[in-house]
Amino acid sequence: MRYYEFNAMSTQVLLAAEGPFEAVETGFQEAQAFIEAQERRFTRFSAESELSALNDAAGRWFAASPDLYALVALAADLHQRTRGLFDPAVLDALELAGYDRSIAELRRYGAPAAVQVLERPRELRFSALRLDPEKRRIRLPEGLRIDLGGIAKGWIAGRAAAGLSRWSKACAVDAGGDACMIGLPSGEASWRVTLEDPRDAARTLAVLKLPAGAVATSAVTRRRWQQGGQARHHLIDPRTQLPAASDWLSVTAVAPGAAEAEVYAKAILIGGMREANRLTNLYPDLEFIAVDQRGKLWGSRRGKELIDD
Amino acid sequence: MKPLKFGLRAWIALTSLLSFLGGWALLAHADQPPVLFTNPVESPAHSQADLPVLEPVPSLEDLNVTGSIQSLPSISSAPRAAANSAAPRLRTRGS
Repeated sequence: MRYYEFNAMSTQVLLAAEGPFEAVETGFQEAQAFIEAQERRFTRFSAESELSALNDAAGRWFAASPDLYALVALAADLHQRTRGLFDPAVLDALELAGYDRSIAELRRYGAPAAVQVLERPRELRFSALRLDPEKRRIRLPEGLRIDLGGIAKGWIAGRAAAGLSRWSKACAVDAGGDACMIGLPSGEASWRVTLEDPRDAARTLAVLKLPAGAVATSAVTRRRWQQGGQARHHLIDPRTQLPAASDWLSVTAVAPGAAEAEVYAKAILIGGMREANRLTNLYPDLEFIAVDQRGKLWGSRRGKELIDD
Repeated sequence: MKPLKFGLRAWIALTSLLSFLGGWALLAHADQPPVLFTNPVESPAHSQADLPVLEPVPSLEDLNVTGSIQSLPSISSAPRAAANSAAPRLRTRGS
């Protein structure tokens, strides 16, 4: 297995592939170029990105590229599947919770105290989004902005892995914990993926043995800061418009696609046991493993089988 | 000197006894202190009947019994070293 690492999407990206040297190198170069191009398309931190253009056009129909249209349509579908627990329109609430500057600044200086709790009218919800598949147009309600951060990272990892698979029968793309694996490494019955301890990033809590597919983790311990003496994190509960109060520190979801895994991990972390039960009953190919405050693992019925002894 | 000494002792004993009895009588007939509370205070706004009845919060273990979620064995007591050369390169974590 050959590996290649680089930084993109504010995280570390790892490419892995088996095969002849030249083919793998070409695949790595293509995958990196694809990831960097998609990052420029979907970032909310650049006024030049297509996502920023979509947000600026809220209230009007916006002619989207095939990639932006596909991702927004997928986000709308997953918004419904998670009954709104995954919501790309929590950007205002996230900024109100203090995340209106870089995470480095927040950790160093904290955030100013919130002056209000966000109350959003029904017509300003993500579910009011309209899609026109024939003309590939998107219309956001006027005043609504969306952030595709997490789902975009998973989606890009999945698409990059699909591209890499043209050069390698066994390959993977790991974008900061959202990983998509295609095929199986030679002589192996599964991919081995370490599960980071959310209480201590230097520690590995378990090694997972996973089939081809995808894995993603959401954690409340990664991006934390103080606001008015209260601990805040970046996972907003759309029901309260505040950082989610979760039983778990992290949730890892295993699903066929990386974007789906990313969204399910987030929804289960926010929704807890009840949502985990509902989603795993609805989607038999979804498995999850959660870590609580004491480092104890919880999971779906087959979750235990994913842990390498 | 002896009769004088005896007389002094008798006078001290008698005046002490009279003073004690006088004080007793004075206190026994003094006014009673005002009664501040006859019953425990109960504000209508905080009566027990008005308090909301809360359901006990189910523990994770209780939820586990009825759902399809099951507890997995805790392995946090033996964390693995991240820098282990045999450890896989792929790593999943919150971002």
